[in-house]
Amino acid sequence: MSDANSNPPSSAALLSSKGEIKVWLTATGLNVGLFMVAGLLLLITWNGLSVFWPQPVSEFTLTSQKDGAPEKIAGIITKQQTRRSAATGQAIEEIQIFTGNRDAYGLAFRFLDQSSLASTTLPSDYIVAERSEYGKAIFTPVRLEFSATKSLPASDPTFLPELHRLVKEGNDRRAEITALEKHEIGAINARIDKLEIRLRKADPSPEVRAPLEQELATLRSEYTTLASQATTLRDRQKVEKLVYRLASGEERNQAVAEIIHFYQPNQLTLGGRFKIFLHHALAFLTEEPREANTEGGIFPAIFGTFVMTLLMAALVTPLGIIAAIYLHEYAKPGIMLQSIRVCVNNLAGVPSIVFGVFGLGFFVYGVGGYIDHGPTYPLPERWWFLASLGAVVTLVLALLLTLKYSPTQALQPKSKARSFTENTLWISTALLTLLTLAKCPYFHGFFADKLPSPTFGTGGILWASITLSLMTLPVVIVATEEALSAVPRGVREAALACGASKWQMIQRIALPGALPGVMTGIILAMARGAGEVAPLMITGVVKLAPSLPLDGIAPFIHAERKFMHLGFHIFDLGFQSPDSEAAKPMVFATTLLLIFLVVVLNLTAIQIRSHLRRKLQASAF
Amino acid sequence: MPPLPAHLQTSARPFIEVDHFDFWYGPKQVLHDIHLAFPENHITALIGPSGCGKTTLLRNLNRMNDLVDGIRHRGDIRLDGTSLYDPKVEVISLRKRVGMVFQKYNPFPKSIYENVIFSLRVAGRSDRRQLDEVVEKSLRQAALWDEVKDKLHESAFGLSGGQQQRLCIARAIANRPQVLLMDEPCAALDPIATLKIEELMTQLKDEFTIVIVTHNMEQARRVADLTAFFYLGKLIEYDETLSLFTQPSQIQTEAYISGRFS
Ligand SMILES: Nc1ncnc2c1ncn2[C@@H]1O[C@H](COP(=O)(O)OP(=O)(O)OP(=O)(O)O)[C@@H](O)[C@H]1O
Ligand SMILES: [Mg+2]
Repeated sequence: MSDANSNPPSSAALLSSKGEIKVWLTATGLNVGLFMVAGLLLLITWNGLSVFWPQPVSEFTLTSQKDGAPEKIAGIITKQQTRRSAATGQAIEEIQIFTGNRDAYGLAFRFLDQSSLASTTLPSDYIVAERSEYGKAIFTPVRLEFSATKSLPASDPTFLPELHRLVKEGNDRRAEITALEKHEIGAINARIDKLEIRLRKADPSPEVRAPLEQELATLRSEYTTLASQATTLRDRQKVEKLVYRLASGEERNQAVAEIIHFYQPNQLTLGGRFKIFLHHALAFLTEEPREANTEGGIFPAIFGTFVMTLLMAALVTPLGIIAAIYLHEYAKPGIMLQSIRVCVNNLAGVPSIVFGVFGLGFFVYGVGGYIDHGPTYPLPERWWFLASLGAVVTLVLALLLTLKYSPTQALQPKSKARSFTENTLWISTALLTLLTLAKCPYFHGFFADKLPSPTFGTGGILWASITLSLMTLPVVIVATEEALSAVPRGVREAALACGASKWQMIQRIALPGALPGVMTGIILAMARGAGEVAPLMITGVVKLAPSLPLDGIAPFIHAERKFMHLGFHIFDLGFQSPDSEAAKPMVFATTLLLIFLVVVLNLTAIQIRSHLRRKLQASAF
Repeated sequence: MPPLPAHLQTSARPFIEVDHFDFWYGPKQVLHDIHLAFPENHITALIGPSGCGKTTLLRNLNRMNDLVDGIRHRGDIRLDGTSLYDPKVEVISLRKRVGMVFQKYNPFPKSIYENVIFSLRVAGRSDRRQLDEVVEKSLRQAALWDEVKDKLHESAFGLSGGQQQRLCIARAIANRPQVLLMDEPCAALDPIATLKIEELMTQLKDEFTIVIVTHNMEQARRVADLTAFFYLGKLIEYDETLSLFTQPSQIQTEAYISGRFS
């Protein structure tokens, strides 16, 4: 730098100057980062998408014998690698195949040494079938059995259409069963629970109890009818059987209705493959998980993430904007403001698990417990009356003092003593109100009848969202403050010169001007919140939630419910699953989706920011 | 009683009186014992070298300087007889009586229409017909109506610089203030736009008391009835424009207007 100043070089000289190597060094740093990010994205995209691509099924004939014939096994090649033999130290080529048929083989994956393979073929009649239990099956069909006497061999030309029809019927019936059991029976159960609680508390006179008991009886009989309907449907599911043969020659049978979807991978055209690919991807996005989350879709996790993120944004936006307006527009510069800024910035650096622990302790156990069963240590009545009286008195005094001061004079500084008294009064009002609420001896909780099982006193989507909104608050505050500083001073002064009060100026000029920046901040906060896992694990996320946080049963929004989340789903699949090999495809697919979500959010933020920049440049001259 | 130039003492009413006014930014005194009056329905120009305190004086007339931290003043400024610093005076209603046009045009990021009626909006007026009338009248007075009447609801940023400055003038006069303060309103404009704004000022004079800061001697000569010359925070000379430019009584004034000034 310094020698460049003393002797201004021409542009050609600049190119060959000593600075060049430093430029290359910085570029290398950037490139390393870029390559790493691009590599990661590519890896995840490739692995995540290939999960849905239907791969061919090979039939391997092994050199080893079994029951006098060469052993055969069929499967999809998932990996090729070299292993070092433990005994000789020689390199051995091996492949990993996905054999499916967990019910027959015990495991869904198998390693084969290349040297043990006699031949490999791609027989065209193999079927890959997804089942509601035991994962995928890979087989050649033998016949359909409609009843003990009636059957249809696989060689018959109507066999495949018939199989398709039966699978579809089974799917429809399964949906019906789910609707019955989950929604209708669920709703009745909820009503029965409520009635039982009412009965428990109702006074013992027969006039009161009789109608309740009768209602209960009707509900119970309704329940029995529905339950028997469901049982009939379930039995119906087991009628048609598919007999199939594994590569080993073993014949097995399987209720057709338990097959969710099947295809013949070795007969597919490219278009057909693509169709299956789309079908898989769609099922992944819209279905519920099965078999400890390793099969099926991740819809509840997507939905949970979505609702949680929206709830968080709805909480953090007003809070962050209000805080930023105060800090940037009203707070007097000084030690106090400085230290608050430092605190806000440090808040952004606190490990997220700390927020989780705080959320668990304060929101879940503290606030949630309070909502459930009222204060644990209420004030004695006399003291409580005193405190509430104090709250009212300070409130009245504070109001009097504040309102006597005309807001239009707000530009004239108040006297120190006066503003001090005012602040003290407001703060004591707030504290006393809090005390009266938190220690009220007459409040015994909204959900006391459900105790000891907690309602709000346990992790739930509301607490998780609040915890995350606390965590992302600095992002919104900093972004809003920056956006407010970007509003030109000239425009602010013009607004004031037009006779606007300070608040009108903020509300009509500064805030609208800052809006794009504020939105960038909110979206960044959402991106951060959506990708967070640690604090959620202890404030309300579960691996399998029985129901969604929003549904058709009143009151529709169930803020106390536990929920599923994409980030936690990845952790759960990858590290908590009984068969991690089987869960791997799901891990990749889920990761891909989560990253996609975060990237989309960030891109939106960038888009908004550049739009803002263009707008500000337009206003400069 | 602050002075008006001699021949106006009887014919014009002093509308703004600056009475032995001193002003400090923090420890730095910027205005020294300023003592003068601006007559009603006249244009008064403030001239002087850069940094002599013209803007500071102007911004004290509508108490825009209240926004700056650490300011202090001594003496008094009276508007139509009442002190600006009277505790009963509300800054907001004061600013409604004293409009201001800034050196750098600064329209709001809103439509042309909303720009003009901003002062009415913040005053809580929302009668559509009235607003429409105000928009047309103000834009006509600002000589902008014909150029923008078909795009009133488009962004103000689509206008040229001169148009934007005239829009700012329309905005400043929309709620009929009594005084119009203009801080180098033509500094960023080309000669044609400048001329338009000067014409505008002479027309507006019948209705408003105008105080304008300018670096352009020709402009002061063309539009101002009175001219005050400031130097280093002091009022050096205040007189009718013609006599100040033809027979300055102070050597500093003469040096400044003849361009022999460093
Ligand atoms: N906000 C402020 N804080 C501190 N000092 C200021 C502030 N604004 C202006 N000053 C100082 O007050 C003096 C007068 O400034 P002012 O802007 O009134 O000059 P001016 O006559 O308008 O100059 P110009 O013709 O360049 O606009 C200058 O020395 C300037 O440095
Ligand atoms: Mg100036």
